[in-house]
Amino acid sequence: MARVNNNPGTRLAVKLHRRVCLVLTEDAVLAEELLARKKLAADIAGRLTDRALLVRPSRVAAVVDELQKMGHTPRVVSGE
Amino acid sequence: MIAPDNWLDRLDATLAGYDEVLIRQVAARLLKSRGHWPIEDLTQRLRLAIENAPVVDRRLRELSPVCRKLLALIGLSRQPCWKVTHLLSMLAALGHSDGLLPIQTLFEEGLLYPLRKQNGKSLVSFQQFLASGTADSWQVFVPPQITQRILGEDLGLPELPAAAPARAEVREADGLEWPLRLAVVWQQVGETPLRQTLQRDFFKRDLQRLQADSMLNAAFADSLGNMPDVPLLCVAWAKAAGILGEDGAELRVGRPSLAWEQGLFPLLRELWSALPALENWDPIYGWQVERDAAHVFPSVYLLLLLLLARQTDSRWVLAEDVETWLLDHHPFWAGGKNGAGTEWFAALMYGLFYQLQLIQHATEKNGQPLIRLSPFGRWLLSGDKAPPQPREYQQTLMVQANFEILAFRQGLTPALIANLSRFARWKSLGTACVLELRAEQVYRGLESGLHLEDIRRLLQQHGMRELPENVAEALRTWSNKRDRIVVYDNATLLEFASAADLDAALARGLVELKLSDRMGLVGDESAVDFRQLRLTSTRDYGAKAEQCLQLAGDGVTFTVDRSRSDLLLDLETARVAELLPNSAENQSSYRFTHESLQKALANGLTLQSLEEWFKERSGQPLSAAARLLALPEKRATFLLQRCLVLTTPTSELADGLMQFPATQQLIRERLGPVSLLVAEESISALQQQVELLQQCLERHV
Repeated sequence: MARVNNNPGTRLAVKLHRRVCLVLTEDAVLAEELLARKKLAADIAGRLTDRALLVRPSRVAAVVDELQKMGHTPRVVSGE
Repeated sequence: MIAPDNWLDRLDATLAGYDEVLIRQVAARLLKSRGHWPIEDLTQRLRLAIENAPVVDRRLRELSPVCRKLLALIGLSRQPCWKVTHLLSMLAALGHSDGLLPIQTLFEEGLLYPLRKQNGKSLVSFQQFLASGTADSWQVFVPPQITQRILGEDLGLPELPAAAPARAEVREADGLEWPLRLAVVWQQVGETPLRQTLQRDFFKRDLQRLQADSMLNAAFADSLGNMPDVPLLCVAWAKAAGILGEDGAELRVGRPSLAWEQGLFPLLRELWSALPALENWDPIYGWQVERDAAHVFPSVYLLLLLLLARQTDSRWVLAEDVETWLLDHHPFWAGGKNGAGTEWFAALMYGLFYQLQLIQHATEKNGQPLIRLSPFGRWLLSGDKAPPQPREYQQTLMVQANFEILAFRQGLTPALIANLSRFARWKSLGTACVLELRAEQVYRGLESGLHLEDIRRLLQQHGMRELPENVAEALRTWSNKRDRIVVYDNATLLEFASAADLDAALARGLVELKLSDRMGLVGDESAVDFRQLRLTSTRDYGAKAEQCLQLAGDGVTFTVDRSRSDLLLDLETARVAELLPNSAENQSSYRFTHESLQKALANGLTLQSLEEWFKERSGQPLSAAARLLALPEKRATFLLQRCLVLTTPTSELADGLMQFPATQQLIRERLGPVSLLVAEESISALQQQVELLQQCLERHV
C-alpha cells in the first residue's frame, strides 16, 4: 500500500483542471439512468467515474433544464 | 437608495463633464476663492466644500427664499435626483412662478447639478444643458450633504382648520400591504419572468395575467378606498425599488435591499423614495404607458405630505380641505377645475398613502373623513436615522399538516415576509395570510442558498406550535432529493500523479471530494492552497480546446500528446477509437477501427460531429481512411471491371484523342497526362480510328 505523504513541506505534483462542468450523482445507477436519456447524453462528454459525468463546456444550463424535465431537482454549485 | 458618498462620486463624474471655464465659474461662487488652482485641485476643493457643513450653511444663507425652498423640497423628499418639471410644479404650488431662474441660479452657485449622459462633450454653460431638451427630460441632483442642512426651511405652507373626530379611536394601516404585494410579485416573477415591450409596457399575455391576478388584486385587509391597476403598480414599484431588475427585455428578480432586514419603517421609506420613479402609473389613469407629458404626481405626493406635516401632531384636518388646497395651488389643476371630492384623491389618500402608513384616518360627527400624518410620516420627514422599534410578535405562524402556513399579520415583519417568500408560496393575502409549502418553492429556496436547517429554524422560531411531523419529513425528503444530483458549473479538479498523493491531499484538506483514485474535486478554486501543490500543467475548460492529436500517414492511427490533453479528450478518444498497447510515457496511441467508429455512430455520434471534433483537436480534416471506416453499412457499391490503359507518347496527343469526336466517345476516363482508360469492347473501334489517322497502336496485353 502506498504511504500517505502527510509532510506539509512536500509539494504534491498535480495537473489542474479548471472550470470543469460536472454532474455528480448519488450512485452509479442514477448516473446510468441519466446517460440513458438521449437528450442528456448528447450534452455529456463522457463518464469520468461511475458517479461523475463530464458535461460539455457551456451546456450546463441545458443539462440542468433536462434534469428538471426528468423530475430531478439538482443542486447547482456555481463557483466564482 | 444610493448612499450619500455615492452622490459625491456622481458629483465628481458630473464635474468631470464640465468645461474648465464652467468649473472655475462654479468654484468662484461656491468657494469664494480668488486663487488660480489647477483644475484637478479645484474639483477636489468643490467636493470638500460640499462636505464642509459651515461652508454649505454660509452659501445657503446667501440664497433667495425660492432657491432655499427648492433645496428643502429635494432634501425632504429623501430623493436627491428629480425631474425639473416636478420641482417647478412644487415651487409654483408654493407660490413661486419664477420659471427656470432658481434652477439656473443653483446651478451657478454649485448647489444643484445637471444629470447628463456622458457623451464625451463638455458642458460649456448651463444654458447649453437647458437648451438640450424640455423640463420633462431635464434631471438634476443635489448631494444630500447640502440638502440635509436646510430641512427646517419654512415652505410657507398654510395651517388648515382643525377638526374634531367623532370618536377617540384612530385608524392606521399596519403598513404591510405593499411589502406583501411586492413579495408576491417577487415570487411570481421568480417563477415566470415578465417580458417588456420597447415602450416598457408588458406584452398582452403578461398584462392580462397581471390584471387578472387574484392575489395582487385582493382587497386591502384594512381598506378605506380602492385604487386602479394595483398589480401593475406593484410590478412597477418593485422595479423602481430594485426588487425586480431588467435583463434585456425581461424583468427578473433582483436582490431585495437591506431595508427588508432593517424593519418596517426603513422599508416603507425606501418604497416612498421609489414612488416618484413610477412614471407609468398614477391615481387618475392607473397604468398608462403612453402619455403626452410626464405625469404630475411625483410633485403631488411630496406636497401633500409636507402640507400634512405642517399641521401639529395631534391636529386632525378635513381630507376635503387638503384636496381643495391642492386643486387651488398646484399648477396642473390651476384653480380647482375638477372640484374637491374626486375619485383619484380618495385612491391616492386612502389607497396609496393610507396603506403606506403615511396617514391616520378618523371621521367627523357628520361622517366627513379626517386625516393627519402618522408617526411614520413624521419620522420620514424628520430625517431621524433610528426608527421607532415596533412591537415584535415572535410567534405568528401556524404551520398546518396540510402544508399551509397561516401568517397572522400582527407578527409579520418585512424580514419574515422576505424569508417566507423564498421557500413558501403565497396563497392569499388578508387579515391572516396563507402560504403553502410546495416542493418547487422549497427547491427554489434551497437553490437561493437556504438550508433545510434555516427553513426549519424559521418555522419553529415563529411557529405558534410544533412543526407537524409530516411537514418536517416532507422538508427533509425534498432537501435530500435535491442532493441526489449535484451539478458543478465551475469546478476545479486536481489530478494527482498517484493515489497516495491524492490521499495526502485529502489528509491536508486540499481536496473536498475524492472522485477517483487520482482525481479530487474542489468546489471553489480560490480556496485551494497552491503553496502545497506543484502544478505540472493546467487545463482551462472555459477556453478553446487544445490541439494535441497527431494523425499518422495510414490515416487511422493517431497519437495524443498527454502533456497537452484534457479530460474531455480522454473520454472522446475512448469513444471513437481503440487504445493501442505500445503507448509511450507522454503519448497515447489510438487507432480508428471499423468497430470503434460504427459503435460510436450507433451511440448517437454523427459523421459531421466526428469531423468537427477531429478538426478541432488535430487541426486536420478527418482522413479518407477514417471516413471509409465510418461509412454506414451497405452505403457504397464498388464496381470491378476489365479495362485497358492506353498510353500516348505526349500529353498533347492524349488531349487530341479526348477532344476528337470520333475517339472521344471511345475513351472512358483520363487517368493521367498520358494515360487513358479504354473499355475492352471499344478497343477495335479505337484501333480503326487510330489507323484512319495513319498512326500505330501497339497492343501489349
